[in-house]
Amino acid sequence: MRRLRLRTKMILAIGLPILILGIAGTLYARLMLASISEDELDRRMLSIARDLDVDATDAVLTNDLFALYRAFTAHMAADPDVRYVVLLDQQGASRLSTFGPLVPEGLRAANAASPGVPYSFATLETSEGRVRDLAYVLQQGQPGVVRIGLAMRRLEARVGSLTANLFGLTAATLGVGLLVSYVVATVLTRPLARLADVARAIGRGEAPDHRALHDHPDVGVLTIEFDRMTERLREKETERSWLLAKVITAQEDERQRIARELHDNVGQALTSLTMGLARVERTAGSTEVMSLAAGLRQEAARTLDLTRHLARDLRPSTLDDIGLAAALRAYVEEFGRQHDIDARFSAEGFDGARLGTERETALYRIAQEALTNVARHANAGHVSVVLGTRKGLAVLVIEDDGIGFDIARLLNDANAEAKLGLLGMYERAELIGGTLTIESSRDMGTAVFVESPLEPP
Amino acid sequence: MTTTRIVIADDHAVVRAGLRHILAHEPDFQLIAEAADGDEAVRLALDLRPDVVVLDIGMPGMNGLEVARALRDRAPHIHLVILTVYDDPEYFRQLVEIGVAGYVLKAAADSALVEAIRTAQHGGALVAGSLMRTLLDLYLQRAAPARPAPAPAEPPPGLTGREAEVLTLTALGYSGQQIADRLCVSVSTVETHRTHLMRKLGLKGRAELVQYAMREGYLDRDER
Repeated sequence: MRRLRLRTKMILAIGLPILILGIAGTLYARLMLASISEDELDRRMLSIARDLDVDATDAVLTNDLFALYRAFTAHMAADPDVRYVVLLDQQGASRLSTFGPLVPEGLRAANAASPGVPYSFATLETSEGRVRDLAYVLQQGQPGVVRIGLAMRRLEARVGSLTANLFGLTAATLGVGLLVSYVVATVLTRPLARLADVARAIGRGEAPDHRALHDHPDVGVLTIEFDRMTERLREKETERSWLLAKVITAQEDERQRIARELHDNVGQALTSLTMGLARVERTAGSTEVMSLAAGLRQEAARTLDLTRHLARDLRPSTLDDIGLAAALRAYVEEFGRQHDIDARFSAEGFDGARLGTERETALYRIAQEALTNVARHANAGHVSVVLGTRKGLAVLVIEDDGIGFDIARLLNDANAEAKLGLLGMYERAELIGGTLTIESSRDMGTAVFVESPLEPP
Repeated sequence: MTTTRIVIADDHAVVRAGLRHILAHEPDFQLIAEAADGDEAVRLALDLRPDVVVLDIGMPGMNGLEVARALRDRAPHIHLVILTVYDDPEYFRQLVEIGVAGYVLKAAADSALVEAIRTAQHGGALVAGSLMRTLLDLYLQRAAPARPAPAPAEPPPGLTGREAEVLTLTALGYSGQQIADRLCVSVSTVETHRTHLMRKLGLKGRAELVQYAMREGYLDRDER
């Protein structure tokens, strides 16, 4: 939707001027026509008045008012706009009028020429519309004023009709203009829309072919720079993954080293201690010494056990020596004992393939993290860990019947610790070319699904 | 009195010293050689042909498992007694599969070891007490069919066709969303089917579900 803005702007840039010019032009034309027509009207009236001026003088001389009256009506007949002709004497009384004996009230006073002015025009509002009134002071001899009224209705109608036509023309022009500008704007903004689509696709992880955009005169530069930027980002991402893999490997190596040290050095010392104490116990001179030696031997044996547990937590040797299934089975059994949860392991669907140290380690660590979360947060009575294979994938599922959690909320939560564990799981899965999915609800508990390809990447 | 000729293999010098001492106490035992790593152990065993090899698991190079495999292959008459810190059932399982005559924990060394060597020499076997449970479980598992049954024609008793599908897909490790997409239903429908079928079959948890599916042959062979 956003790209309409530019297009809308382009359309408005064409539409608005057309509209403004159209309206302005129409109004101007209307005013001009009205003005010209009114001038024309006034001139007609003046011409009639001058004619009547002569006729009136003659009529008085011959005392033939009827002839004057005939002149009045003749003018009226000749010009359909003439509404009335009235002859007023010096006192303003009506001597002759096309109205007959009754002259409409107020007409006399409506327009009067000031002294010294030969005539004056006025526009009267009447029940029939506007009427242009001329008060013409007779010049030729007889004192008096001729009043002529012209209905403006026809003129107004013509002006109105012209205005309407001009508006119509404006509208038509606007319509055509908008259509053309719409088409042009769409075509012009299409490369931008295309670039936006490309950006979106890249964001989803696709790689759409957009070489054509590179040559575009306007968007080409933008596209090229955009591609450079995505390339740089990809490189950074690769670097980051590489670094992360290195960090994890370093961590695993260190754990392995410490576990070995514990086994070799500490374990060796404790073992020899145990054996030595066993000898003391056997060859003890007195029961006192014997029981003391026995107690110490048990202490040493317990310490040895602790050390071995520690070493196994750090990095179980079964993982390297025997395999993932064995290591997981042992871990799950220990987990169940330690946390008093019904913990079951199944590798029935697993055909014993070895996945390579990195993959097996990653899966093991993910299971560890998932089970840690179960112990800490899930409040579960049962947890199942299932290892299997399917269509070229190794599949690991850790499922509990606990209270579940809101994944999205946890990922947005600022609480670093819980989020770190979760992110760590996702990262580990990604680093071995696998995927991690978590489904969690209050009713069904939580299930962590890990899929990892069997072939090396 | 026949002498039992023994070779010991352990990477810890102190342990070897201790063993030396223990064996010296037994008149019918003769310690003929000591190895400090797996390769040496195999070489010595093949050269000297002892009656019993006392073998540690955690050794550099070839570990005890690999030594055991090699010796069972090439000198099967040699009795193997494992002496190790690992009471881990996994190692135990592996070694039982390979075929050892004794499994003794270092923590309980001396007396148990002597007895284990004697027992082995006489064709018997001795297993550390704490691992007897594991041994029995292993035996029971072996009695059950290991191979998956061929795919049955009908769905499990009492389940609808849909429930049977959900059973198979769940056993294969598909997520709720994946199953929903495949069957063109909603995730909550899948969950309902799952709850029903678990109840009908009396299964508690996914592990049991997989075991059941495997046993009854409901893991679709084409998928795997």
